[in-house]
Amino acid sequence: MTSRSDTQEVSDADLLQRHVAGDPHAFEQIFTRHRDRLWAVALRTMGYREEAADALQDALMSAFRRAHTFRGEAAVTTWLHRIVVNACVDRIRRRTARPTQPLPDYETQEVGAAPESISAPDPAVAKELALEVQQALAALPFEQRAALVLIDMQGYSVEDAARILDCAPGTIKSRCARGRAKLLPLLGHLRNAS
Amino acid sequence: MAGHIDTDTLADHAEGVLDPERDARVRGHLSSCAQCRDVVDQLAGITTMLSSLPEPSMPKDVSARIEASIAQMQHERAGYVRGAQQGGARGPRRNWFTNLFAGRPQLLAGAAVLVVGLIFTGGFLATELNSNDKPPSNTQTGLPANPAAVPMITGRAYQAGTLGAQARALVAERRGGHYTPNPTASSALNGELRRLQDRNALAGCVAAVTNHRPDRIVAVDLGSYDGRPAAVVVMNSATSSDEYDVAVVGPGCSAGDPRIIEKTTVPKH
Repeated sequence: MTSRSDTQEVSDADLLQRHVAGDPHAFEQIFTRHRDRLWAVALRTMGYREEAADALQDALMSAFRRAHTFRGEAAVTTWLHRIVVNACVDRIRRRTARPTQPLPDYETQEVGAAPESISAPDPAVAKELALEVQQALAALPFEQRAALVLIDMQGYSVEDAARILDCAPGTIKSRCARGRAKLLPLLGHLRNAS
Repeated sequence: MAGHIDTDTLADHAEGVLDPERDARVRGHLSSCAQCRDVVDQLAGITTMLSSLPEPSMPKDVSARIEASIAQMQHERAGYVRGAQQGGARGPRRNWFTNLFAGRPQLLAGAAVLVVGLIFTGGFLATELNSNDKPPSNTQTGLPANPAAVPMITGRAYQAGTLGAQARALVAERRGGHYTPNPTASSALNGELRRLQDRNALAGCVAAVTNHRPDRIVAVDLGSYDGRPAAVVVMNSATSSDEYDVAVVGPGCSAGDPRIIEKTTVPKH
């Protein structure tokens, strides 16, 4: 049984193993540890707050059920991110009714503050700038957006991103390069503003 | 290389994914072109900008919703374990579920593992059994692949005029885990509802209603519809992420005869 006192020392892999063995609290501990990071990936990949929440819920339900399939070949976080990204892909594929449209409900989006390099004194302006970045990301094809989210925004290595997105490292690099090229005309003015 | 180099190529160069010959040509051009060098700098600036964005925190409502979902799954898992333990003479004597997963992935991957796609539910429940364990004798031992497919049994009185709002309320209760099963509904509805609680029949019925896409299921409930015993199946629309498909089926519903009373599409919000 996982108690609050011992979770700091327990590895993610051990927690997952405890969950598989029937520990009723272990999976929640994994979620608590990584929820912000998983949320960031889902939100930045999906663009839509509600869809990100739905995708993340789908993913965690899947991870809960499939925990016994984790083989320890990669980190638990990599495994979890892969499930999250796949859930996002599934939901994006269902967006047949609205293939390309701007992000809705900007005022309700939690996109974080503006980049530090764009130090706007007005919080409202800062949020607007951050939203502009999010909107530009939404204009990219999913594959490029997901690669940039993992590499440039979440700081994953190319190798880990390749595991998460199930493709070759060279493919990840190409997607990042082409994604940045597409973002340049959309975000160049923000960089100039800084 | 006449004129300037396009941004895609410069981005590929910066990422190091060009073939050596082409990369050499780009480097040669950059040595004499300040404008293209500036584009390369701007591309690096994009990376800097993205990496400097602070990570958004998970909103409290999303966190609460997912925690409730995990708690619900844990509750259901525990329930299935208890069900297995109380499964009667033919049921396993020990907590086979726990022992199953304590068996480690390599065991599951090995030849000793018998994987049974137990169509308890027309596909939305599956169980994996160690061949050393006795197979489960009944559906209590199934592990729900999609917990949303487990009937909530609220006994709610659905009505044609308010079906959409009631379906949304049901989904909110399902996701929040804030609902109270009402087992007395079966007797209150003259025993007919009990027939809907025959999980095998309901499972086949739901599989038919969802076109064998159990992943679409958002909530399943047992109650009444316009005063008659009914099961309500709420599922994500196959064509729009903004809508739910809602099907209402009557007693006797099965895979071959879904007995759909009502089928409609409602907005999610």
